[in-house]
Amino acid sequence: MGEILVGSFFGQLDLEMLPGLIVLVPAIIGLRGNISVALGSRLGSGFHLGVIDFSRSWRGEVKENIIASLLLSSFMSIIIGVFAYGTCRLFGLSSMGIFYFVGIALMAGFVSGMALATLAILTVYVAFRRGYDPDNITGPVLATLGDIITIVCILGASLLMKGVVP
Amino acid sequence: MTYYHFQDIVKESIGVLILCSLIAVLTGQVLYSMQDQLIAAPVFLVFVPVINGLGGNLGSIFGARITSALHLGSITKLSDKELHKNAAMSVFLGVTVYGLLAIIIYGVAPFLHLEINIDVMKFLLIFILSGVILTIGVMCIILVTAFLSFQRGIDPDNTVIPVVTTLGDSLGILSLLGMIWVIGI
Repeated sequence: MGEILVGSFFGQLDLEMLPGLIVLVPAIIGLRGNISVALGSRLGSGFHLGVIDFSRSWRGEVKENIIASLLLSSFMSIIIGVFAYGTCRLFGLSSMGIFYFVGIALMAGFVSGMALATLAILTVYVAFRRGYDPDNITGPVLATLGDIITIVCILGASLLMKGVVP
Repeated sequence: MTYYHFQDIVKESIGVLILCSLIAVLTGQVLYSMQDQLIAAPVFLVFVPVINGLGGNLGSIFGARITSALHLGSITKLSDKELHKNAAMSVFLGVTVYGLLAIIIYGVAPFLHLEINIDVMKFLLIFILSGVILTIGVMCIILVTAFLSFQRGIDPDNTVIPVVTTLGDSLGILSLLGMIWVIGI
């Protein structure tokens, strides 16, 4: 049912107003999954290794992980925007300007990255508190909620870009 | 000193992420090339995440079973009966689950203000066939990845899932669009 919800948001995207926007969608969703599930998995391993111990030292480790996740999100979003614009030009398809591609990708990538990083820490923390193995929980939680959060972020970013830059 | 360093994490992940992003952008281009048909029948746009999500789930279950069987030695070669049983089960599961989902979506669509302006039979056929093609495709990818890794002494648990998640999404979109193109809407 979560997936159907994602799909219905997907249906709201104004694809005709922003030509080429659809090219970004699979790439940003895929990227989001790859980065945030990897983050969840690292936090889980860190927890098992004992380097992330919520009862004493965890801020430093978590900070490094979040910086990495956000850096990757921002950098890869820019790359995706450039790839999407480049392939549109290469195949001679009509497209919006590169500014739109990079702007939407960066905004959606960064905001959803922040949201999912917070969610990843929260999930690992709650799993730890309840005595569950975080490896069994972070994957499904981040994958499903990640899709929903990301598509909402893409929708928001594209509405914003369309409003700000006529 | 911390155990994790953001420089190392970034360095180790960036290569595979760039590769995955390029594949995903190309998939997006395929989607773009069929955009007019998709806008004409928005209900299929709603399908994209559903088909991909399910394909991923079915694939990971099959993948997990195959890699465990390889480790346990209950499957050693492609002609093993055990393997055929598993494959048949996955295809059967695929048909059932995709059929069920098609019916659910058909029922839910009016509440989401989505018109289904095509023939019911065509609708079901497109949905179930693209689901089955995806399931079989993902299974082939899993088998090739698992057997190749195992032969080279790499733990298939580390290779099967990343390969399936990246290629599975692209394959899901391609099989759906392929069926829309073949059957027509």
